[in-house]
Amino acid sequence: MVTSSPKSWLFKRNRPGREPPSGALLPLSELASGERATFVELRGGRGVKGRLTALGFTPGVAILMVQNYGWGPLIVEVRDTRVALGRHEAEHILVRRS
Amino acid sequence: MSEPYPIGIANLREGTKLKREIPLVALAGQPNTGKSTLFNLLTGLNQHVGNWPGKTIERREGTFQHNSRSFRLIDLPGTYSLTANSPEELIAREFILREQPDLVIALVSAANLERSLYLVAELISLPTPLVVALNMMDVAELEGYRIDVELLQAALGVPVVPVVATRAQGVRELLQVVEQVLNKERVLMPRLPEIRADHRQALKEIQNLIHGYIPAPYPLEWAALKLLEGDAELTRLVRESLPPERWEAVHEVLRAHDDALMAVASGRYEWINRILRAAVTRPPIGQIGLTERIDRFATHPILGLVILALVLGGVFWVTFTLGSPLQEWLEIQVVERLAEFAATSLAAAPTWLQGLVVDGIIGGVGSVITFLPILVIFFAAFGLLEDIGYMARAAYVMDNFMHLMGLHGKSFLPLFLGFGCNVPAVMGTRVIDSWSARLVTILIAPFVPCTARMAVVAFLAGAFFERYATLVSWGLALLALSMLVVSGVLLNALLFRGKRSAFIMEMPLYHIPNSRTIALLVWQRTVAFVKKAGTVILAFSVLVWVLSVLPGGELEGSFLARFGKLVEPVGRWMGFDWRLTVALLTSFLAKENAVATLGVVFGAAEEGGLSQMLLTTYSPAVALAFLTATMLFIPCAATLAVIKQEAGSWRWALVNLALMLALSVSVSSLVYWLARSWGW
Repeated sequence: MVTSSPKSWLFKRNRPGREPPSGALLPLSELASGERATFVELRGGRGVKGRLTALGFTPGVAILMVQNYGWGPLIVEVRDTRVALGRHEAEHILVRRS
Repeated sequence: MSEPYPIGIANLREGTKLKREIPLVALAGQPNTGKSTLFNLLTGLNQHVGNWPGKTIERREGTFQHNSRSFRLIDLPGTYSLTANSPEELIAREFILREQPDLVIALVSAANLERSLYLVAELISLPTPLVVALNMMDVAELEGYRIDVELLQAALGVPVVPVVATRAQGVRELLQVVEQVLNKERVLMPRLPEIRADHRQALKEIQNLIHGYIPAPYPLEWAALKLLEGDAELTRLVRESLPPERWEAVHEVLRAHDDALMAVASGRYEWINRILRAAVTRPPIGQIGLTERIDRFATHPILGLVILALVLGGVFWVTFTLGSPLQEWLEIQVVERLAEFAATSLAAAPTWLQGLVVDGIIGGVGSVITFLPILVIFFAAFGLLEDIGYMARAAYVMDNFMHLMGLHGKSFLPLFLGFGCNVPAVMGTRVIDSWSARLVTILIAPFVPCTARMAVVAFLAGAFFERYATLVSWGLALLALSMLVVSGVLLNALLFRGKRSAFIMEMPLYHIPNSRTIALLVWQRTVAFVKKAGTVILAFSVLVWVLSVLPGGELEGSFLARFGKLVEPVGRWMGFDWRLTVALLTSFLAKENAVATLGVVFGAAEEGGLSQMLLTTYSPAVALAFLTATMLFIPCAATLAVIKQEAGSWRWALVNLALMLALSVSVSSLVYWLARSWGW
């Protein structure tokens, strides 16, 4: 995991989220790097929905936040695939921390 | 939300099932599964690259032989699914349903089996026979996956053939199976995925409602599923085919199940996971792969940019270190000799014919030929970065910056290609998935200083500013790039009201590059460039030559010079006389012509003499204004022709023309005025 890097000042994890009560829904963009969550739902237009669904974002699937520096795009792992998402897109994906 | 492309089913060719003499095989697969490698492996150079009818999406078709029997192979666009989210997906599925190929080969990545089987889940439900090619078995083994091919085949109910396309392994076996299926020596018993249990009732209701109304060739259950998935094209089609009250009823069911897309997709993934549980052993979680190790640096928000800058710098260094000597060699050994040869063999011919051949034709072709080495090296470097998987990382780290213009990371790739030549850059915008983002990228791409423009600027800066030449060249390149950003922001605000498009991109695993794939990529890009740029440049070269000698045979009194004098008042704003104005105008033909024209009007045979003359004739203020204008001037004819082709109408080519003309004149006038007021 990245957190174990010796140069941790450079790879410092930004923990963007306040801690919501466990089990509450939160946007994917609030997950810190290395955190895992379960995909719950997607708020967005048909086109974005269709593309994300084909990439494996379906209810109940496990998501690993690979990289989130708190600004800019982020990388998640879903069904063994790494997917880069714009922050705006990640804000519209609702997940539950696991 | 991204706006869809202007797409429609109507302009895809209507197909009828006929008995074919040569079997037609379609190759389908998701992006990053090694599809083009397999296609190239099967067809070699027996392939033809064109466009899908009415679309600017590449269509590749080829032939291959097996057991002395010929096959036609169509490379379908790489898609994640068959829902009409993009024109690629629409093309892939309309081709399978309408043209009805005799067989579809679905390529899946063993290293990414869960996701790449999603497309198989869609293909297997279509009536065309299916064979699955399991690629990247080597990568999967490295990552620790163990796949039981026999069990996978049994669970799918269609043949599965393991291949390693990069090493040409398993191809014979694949073709063997393809032939067996075509000869009906193998019976397929596909196991089909089902919609998640809670939506079966809704699916049945819709099927009953649309039964008998769905036009051929769409299968009933498939159409019902696509309706539930919210497929825009199919929804439109069904609404047009159904009586209004029936459509109302269908619409009612759809409204009550607006989460049906998830139910359909979940059903497919449940099906995939059942298969995987039977056939695949996964590596223990937490293993750090090569990709993760590299990405820790390559996608870091700061280090990633540093790495990108180093990579780009390296590409330019290699391109010019290797390319420039080659370019000079070609210029001296080939083009000049050819010109001499033509001049001597045409010595008896009339002067106009000599001029036409030597200055018009050889001059035009020569500028394309001498430019090729640089372009080929640049394409090769670019192809290498693409093939190992780095380009997705470059797009990722540039995403923040591209947002300034309402674009996202993917637009960076074609713009980068523009440093080589603007022609492939404009064509390269095809990777961008939303039409508005693509159009903005097309319109700003000509601001990227291409190698030809940089060569002109470097020469002129050297002539005028000697010691400060490098500084001036870099400054001008930066100026062009900042104009690119300004135009991007403006265009996005004006044309699309600041709307932004979604950034969703798979980050493929890094892998060892395949020289065949890169070589073919370079070959195809080069051929496309020569065809487009070559023909346009040659035609314009002849035209400009004609304008520069008629009617009197001298440049001084020619139509070109008259035109130059006519627009000279505009040139004066920037401090130009008619000679600089004409030089700037002829750069429309090809950027390097700016220097060539100056050479002609000053009657200087060699460049050394020209530098001296320019230095004594023009003040630094005029020189700087001329360099600025050259850097920002309208795109060359070839680029303009591709803008028209890719944007679909002359309207956008003219918008680009007007934009760049206005910017180059106004910025360069400003530069002239400022430089003058500083006493230069």
